[in-house]
Amino acid sequence: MYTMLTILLVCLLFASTASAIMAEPMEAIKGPINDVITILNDPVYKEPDLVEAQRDKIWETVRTIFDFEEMSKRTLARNWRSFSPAEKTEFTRVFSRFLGNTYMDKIQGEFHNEKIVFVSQEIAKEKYALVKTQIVRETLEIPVDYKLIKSNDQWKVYDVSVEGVSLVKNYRSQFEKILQKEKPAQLIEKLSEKLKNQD
Amino acid sequence: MIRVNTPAIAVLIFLTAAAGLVFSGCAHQQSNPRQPDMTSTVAAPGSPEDPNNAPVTDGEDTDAAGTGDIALAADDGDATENPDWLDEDEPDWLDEDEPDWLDDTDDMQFTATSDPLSGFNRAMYHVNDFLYEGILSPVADAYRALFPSKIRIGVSNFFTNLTGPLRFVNCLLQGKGEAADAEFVRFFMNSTVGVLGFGNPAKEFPELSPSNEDLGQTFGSWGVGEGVFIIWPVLGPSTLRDTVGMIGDRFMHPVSYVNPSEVSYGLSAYERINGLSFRLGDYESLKAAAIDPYEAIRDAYLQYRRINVEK
Repeated sequence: MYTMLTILLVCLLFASTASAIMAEPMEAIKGPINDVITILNDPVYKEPDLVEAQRDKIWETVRTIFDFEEMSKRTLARNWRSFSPAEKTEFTRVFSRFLGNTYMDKIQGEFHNEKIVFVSQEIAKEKYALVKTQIVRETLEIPVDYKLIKSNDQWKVYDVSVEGVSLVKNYRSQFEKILQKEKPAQLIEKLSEKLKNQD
Repeated sequence: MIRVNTPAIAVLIFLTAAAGLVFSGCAHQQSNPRQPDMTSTVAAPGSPEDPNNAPVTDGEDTDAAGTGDIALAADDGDATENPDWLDEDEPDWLDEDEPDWLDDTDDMQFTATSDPLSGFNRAMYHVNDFLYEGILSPVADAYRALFPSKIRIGVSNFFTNLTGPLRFVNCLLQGKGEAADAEFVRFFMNSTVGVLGFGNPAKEFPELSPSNEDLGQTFGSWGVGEGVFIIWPVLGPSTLRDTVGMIGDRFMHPVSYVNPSEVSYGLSAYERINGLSFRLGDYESLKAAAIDPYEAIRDAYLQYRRINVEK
């Protein structure tokens, strides 16, 4: 009887620590994403001249959940090795700003009170996680999946898939096409130009 | 969900937990109360990370996995610290034993590198882009402004319901019995209670949600390859396989039997405009986010279709 009780206790102990670990990756993005929605709905930013301020606030909130270097590596895949250390740093910097701007334009320009539903999460090999969410819009439910990696004990997003289309893979095939003909420096140049046109 | 009060189950859980800790040195966790079918992706003891397995694998494998680990864990934001982590010809920049949703084992292959029709396709991309910007988008925009979402949702339901039999057939052809049943019940319910499909009473039953199947996916599930990528004027991106599927689906689509054909095409166009009214801005975003919009659309189409064939 005592043995049974001990096993039960040990079980419960395991169960509780397990759930603490499990809650992590979803929590890591849930907070910031909900904060972004709060900022988007905040009547303070209704003034047209505060659009820029709102943008900065959203960016500050959302950037913390991404691991832009991991994203850059995975986007360039085997091409990453042909980048010099300086080019790697520069690419990561430009690419993250480019992604940020694109994301900002999209959500600032088109947020119509969509609801975000956090569906499920999965952890693999301790340091990878998949968090499934849905954007609920009128008749549509758009599945958005986040892939996270744990580094320095923090969960960071390294890929986002919308309706199964991975952002990293999508950029990978574009960059691959460009890098077949051009040098890393020229790709960075192209990205910077695109970045300038966004502003 | 787990009843710990049953001793047998408690022992089982304990053993599993203990085995996980002892064998892999780390607990592989996942939680999916709503999606129990995913439990199969839990890394089992004996995965390549298993220390007991390590001596068995040959040196090269161990090294590859190890290098990948270091590379991915580069957490100080400085790539220069381990510049040689990629200097091997193995696909070593990623862990090889990632579960299938990490699916990065095929990441070294770029989504369909061959594109023999790229010249034609790029031209058609520009034609479609022009049609979209010049006609489709403004029309859908005006349409959205004129009709409240209630009506547009009704129309969308109507067309979705019309293609119920088409999805039913494709579910059957793919051996998806449950999905076929769901399509059948859904079609019956929405056509009657839902007044010819304008209403969507089946929405109350999540298990009846439509399965997004078509003939292209059916061929894919039979193992038919995609064939070349083609962008058709007006109809948009496709592959050889999906084009044949599209023609077949057209025969199962009630709208194609409407006479005269002008009305039939008109209905198809209307279906498209109505559908677009919910997705305005999405294409623009995709384009704005791309360095090479044609390549972005090609990759997105192929990724999307592959995901749907797998489902």
